[in-house]
Amino acid sequence: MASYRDYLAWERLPHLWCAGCGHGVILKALTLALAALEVPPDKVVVASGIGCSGRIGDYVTTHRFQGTHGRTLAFATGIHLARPEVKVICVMGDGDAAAIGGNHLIHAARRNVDLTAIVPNNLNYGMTGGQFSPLTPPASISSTSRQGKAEPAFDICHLAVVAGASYVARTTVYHVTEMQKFLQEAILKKGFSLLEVLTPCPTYYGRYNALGEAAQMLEWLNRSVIPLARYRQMSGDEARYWWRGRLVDREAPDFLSRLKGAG
Amino acid sequence: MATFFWQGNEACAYGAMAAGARFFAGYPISPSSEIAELCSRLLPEREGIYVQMEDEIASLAAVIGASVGGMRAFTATSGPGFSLMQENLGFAVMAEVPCVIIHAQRFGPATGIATAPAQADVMQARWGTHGDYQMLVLSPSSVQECYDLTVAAFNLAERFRSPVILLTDAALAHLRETVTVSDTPPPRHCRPQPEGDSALYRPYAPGPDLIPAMAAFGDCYIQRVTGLVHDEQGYSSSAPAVAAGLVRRLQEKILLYQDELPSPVYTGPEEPEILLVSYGISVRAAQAAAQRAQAWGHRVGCLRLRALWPFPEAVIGDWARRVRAVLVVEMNYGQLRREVELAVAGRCRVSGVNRYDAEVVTSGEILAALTKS
Amino acid sequence: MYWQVVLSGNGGHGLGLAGELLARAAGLQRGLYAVQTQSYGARARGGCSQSTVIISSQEILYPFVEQPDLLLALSQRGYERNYPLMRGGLVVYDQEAVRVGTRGGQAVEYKGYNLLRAAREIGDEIFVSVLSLGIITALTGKIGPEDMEEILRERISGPRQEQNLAAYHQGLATGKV
Repeated sequence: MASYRDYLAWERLPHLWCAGCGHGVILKALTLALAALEVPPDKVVVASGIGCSGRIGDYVTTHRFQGTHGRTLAFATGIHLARPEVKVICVMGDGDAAAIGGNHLIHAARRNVDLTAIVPNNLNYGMTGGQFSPLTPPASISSTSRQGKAEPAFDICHLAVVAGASYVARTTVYHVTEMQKFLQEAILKKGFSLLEVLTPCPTYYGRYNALGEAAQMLEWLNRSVIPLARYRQMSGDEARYWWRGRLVDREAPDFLSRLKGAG
Repeated sequence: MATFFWQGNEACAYGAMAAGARFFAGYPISPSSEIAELCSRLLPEREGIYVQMEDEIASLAAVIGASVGGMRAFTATSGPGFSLMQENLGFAVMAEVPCVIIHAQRFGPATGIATAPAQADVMQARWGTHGDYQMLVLSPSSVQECYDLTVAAFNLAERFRSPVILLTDAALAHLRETVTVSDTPPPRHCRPQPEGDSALYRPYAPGPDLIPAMAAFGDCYIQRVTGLVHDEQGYSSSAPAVAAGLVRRLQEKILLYQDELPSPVYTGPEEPEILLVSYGISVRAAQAAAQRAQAWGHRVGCLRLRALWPFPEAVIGDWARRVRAVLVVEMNYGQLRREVELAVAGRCRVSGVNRYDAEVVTSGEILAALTKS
Repeated sequence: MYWQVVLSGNGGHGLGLAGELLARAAGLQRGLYAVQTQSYGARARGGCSQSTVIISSQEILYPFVEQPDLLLALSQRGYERNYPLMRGGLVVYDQEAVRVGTRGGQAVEYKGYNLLRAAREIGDEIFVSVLSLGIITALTGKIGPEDMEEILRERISGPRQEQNLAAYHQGLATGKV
């Protein structure tokens, strides 16, 4: 029986993330999921981008790849095609995945590359000082939107669905058990899977928007998120809420199968 | 021994196959597209993978990913695509990932003239990505050399754990010439492999020639690859001593072994009075001009550079003591001439024959310049 | 021998292929050196199109044509662009497509044919390139007619091979007259 402890690089701890940051919870859920699936650490690559969540690779015992900002899925496509027997788990923050890496996300989902993409969404660029990202809710205060963010946000999960992903889900670090379950499903899924995880950034987003300390932010997250089924029955009010749940879980040939079929 | 009548682009693709490349990721762009087209056919026949990415940034990223997965991987592009690749070119330098970038230069800046030749990305190839580093750049001047130097590029990439750029141009890319290929496959240099206890493997611990052993993802040796400054374990670090040590090793692993690169080739009289220095397609005009000048009784020789970076400074410096003047022949406003001037260091006169009108230099232009030297 | 050839016309005339065939027939079949270039991209798909070949008994240093010895002109533009470079040699041109007003130097010989019309009669304008190769082979004697035929059979397979061979033989016959 594998334990999550086998996947954590203990000598590297404590991690560099702020007190109250949710990234550590995601790290733990990932190690729990890998242990539950009993994937040996040398058959896993944790690929990450740039930003707070990009440092996740410093704390795992698996293979680790940290690329350039936004390009994780493009690197991971090459890794996967060269070593299809290895599970490639990509971790990209909201700015990384939705802004600079948005095009790569669309095309990795469209090709249905057998990758797992985790998007820890802390609603801003934490590493660089709390600027707004494409996933920051409109009107939010950030270090580059002192009067409130003028731009709309978009739903990265729906984007992944229309682009062609096989599995798409969203949860929060408040819902740890659900996160681990979704992670396991996503890792096992043949094809492109995306899991967005809403996570608090008390240092910037919470402070700028008066959402309180870490614990209060977790409560705020819980209040702001409703199950997908309920969300679908609502009308008019949706903008106030995030949904959580499994948006898509479908079967489609993955990229490598198609390539081999065509070759 | 077999002979083929290939375009420069075709010779690059076949050279890559002979060198064992089994992964190509790219994005269509003139004048390099034939390489992608040919790879899309040749690679599946060889259990290899051809993938067409969403842009050139992603193309080089996928190449780097495949290389860390253990494959010999490459891409091909031209000016605008090469500009986009600069980001991950620097990554490949920092993370020490072997890969080959074939760059068929076209007229620029910007979109320029998409199908016309130039040699104006010589400096971009050297300095295009940010930071402090060495870059390995080869420049073929015939279709035969497109083949031979592509093979060499893959071996150098593995030898030095570094990206290697093969600089061709639109004229050479579409020129058809006879290529002779040996029946025996070319010698293959492979990246150093880790040995011994996997628990003791440190991904960036330098070997005897400063090159760290390179595990592939999926091996029992845990590989950690990052573009951040990293320690020997592959963990990120911002300690000044670690940063300095890394930069020094990245420089020295190449500079100390520069003589392993293809050296400049001299043709002409034993004691030349004037030396033409050229590279790429311009060499052809330089050699023709030198031959005509020799027929008229002038002592003119031609030095053909095969590796542009690191620049063969010592070789040029030696020649500068033996000749009266050096003429640098290139299709740009004078990019490599400045480098030659640095190497010559005032020991003889240096001038340029430069063409930047999207046409190939002719021997007539060089002869005209020679009469002034 | 240092023989510089320019095949010029419009996109769709098959000039890129013709240049390659000519170079292969000369270079590979007889141990001569040969190089070939062709215009590329949008220009090859309509509008001005051109392919150049150099065949030499010595190693070819400069692979681009500076002074054509043979010009095939299937379009006025192709003719205008290249005849001023000639100091001698032969111009083979299409009598309908090219009006030879100003001529090259005194030493340049001119031979006009209805090349495009003949190609259309065979079935498609694209056969003009191979038809012209037949004429050039017969007129110049620089390439062995059997070598050219061998390369044609090797390079062009499938349903169009017969028509191409017919075009080639018609060209050979025309050139011999």
